[in-house]
Amino acid sequence: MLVQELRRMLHKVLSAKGQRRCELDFAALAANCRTQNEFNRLSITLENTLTPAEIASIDKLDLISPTKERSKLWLDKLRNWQPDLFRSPQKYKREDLFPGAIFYEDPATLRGRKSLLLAFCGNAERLMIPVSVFLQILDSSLWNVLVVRKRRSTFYANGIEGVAADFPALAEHIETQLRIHQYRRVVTLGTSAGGFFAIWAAVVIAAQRGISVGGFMPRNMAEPLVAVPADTDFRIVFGETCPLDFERALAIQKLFGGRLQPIAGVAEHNVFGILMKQGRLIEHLQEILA
Amino acid sequence: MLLVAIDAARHGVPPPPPLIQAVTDGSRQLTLDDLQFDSLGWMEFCISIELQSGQELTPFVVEGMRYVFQIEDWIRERMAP
Repeated sequence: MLVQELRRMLHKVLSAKGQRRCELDFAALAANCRTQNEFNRLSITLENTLTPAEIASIDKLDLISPTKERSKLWLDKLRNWQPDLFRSPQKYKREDLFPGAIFYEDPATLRGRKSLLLAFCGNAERLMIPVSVFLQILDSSLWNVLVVRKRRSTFYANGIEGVAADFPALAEHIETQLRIHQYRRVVTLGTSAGGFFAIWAAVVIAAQRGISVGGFMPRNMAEPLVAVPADTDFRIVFGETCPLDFERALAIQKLFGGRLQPIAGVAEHNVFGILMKQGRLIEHLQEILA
Repeated sequence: MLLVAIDAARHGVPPPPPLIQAVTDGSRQLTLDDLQFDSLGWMEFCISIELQSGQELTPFVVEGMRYVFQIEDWIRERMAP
């Protein structure tokens, strides 16, 4: 199966509304993967879209070769990063909110008792780590999460086609559509190319906290004119020994203020990925979100 | 083909001009480490090569290589009539 065809099938399956039957979808989709690369395309998309419970359900399927072996390799990688994903997956359900945005919620807990996290992905369309792994770290009885992705080779600054013409309009669209006033607390977080925009979104919607992880302002973009809310707390996270990201963090701080938060023992841009491999992600994520 | 795949591995972020030049010139010194891809980047690179050439280059195959020209040679050998 050509990768483009796989992409089209995935889009059709993943953007369907209502309850998903992941077992049937996965077995059928994976069986159609002729090569390892096609399977990789499938697994990358799924690990950045499905809920933790949907990923865990794949692990229970009785698959046939070669899907069985390919799936085992893939799921073992996720298991190694986040064993609880399979032992006790968080109870999020997912819903497409608008093109590029998926809302994850455990409807069993009232929104007024929860915090809302608006998460802006980087260029790799994930949060430095697979979205399902990220979600597993957040207690679904305490958080609802909106994951926003821009299309490849586009910029959040230009909004999202058919949704909003620029970034402030996008942030306002999210604010209205999610009725963010229902929540106890609103936090924005963005990684890499999404980091700067998470901070900007926090300004637009006056979130309680805005977090940039390895974020940067796109080149050739004019500095936005912003009135920074007094009550918003900004955290600008970067690898302590990553000089480029330190410079970028300073630039964000110059524009918005906030606190620089270097992460010791990380020299790479991919702060979350390194922390996850070091087994330190949960402790750091809980600290920056608290 | 390599430049398109590099672009895919960088998630649509164009490579810096010196890297483009080195790839275009077929540099024998350009190493895979110089590309600075993570594991996801290599998956995207290989997907792109397969899409363009029909040849199933995988991250596992790339693990046995050190230089970018080795990838070029690998593709050329398989696409030769």
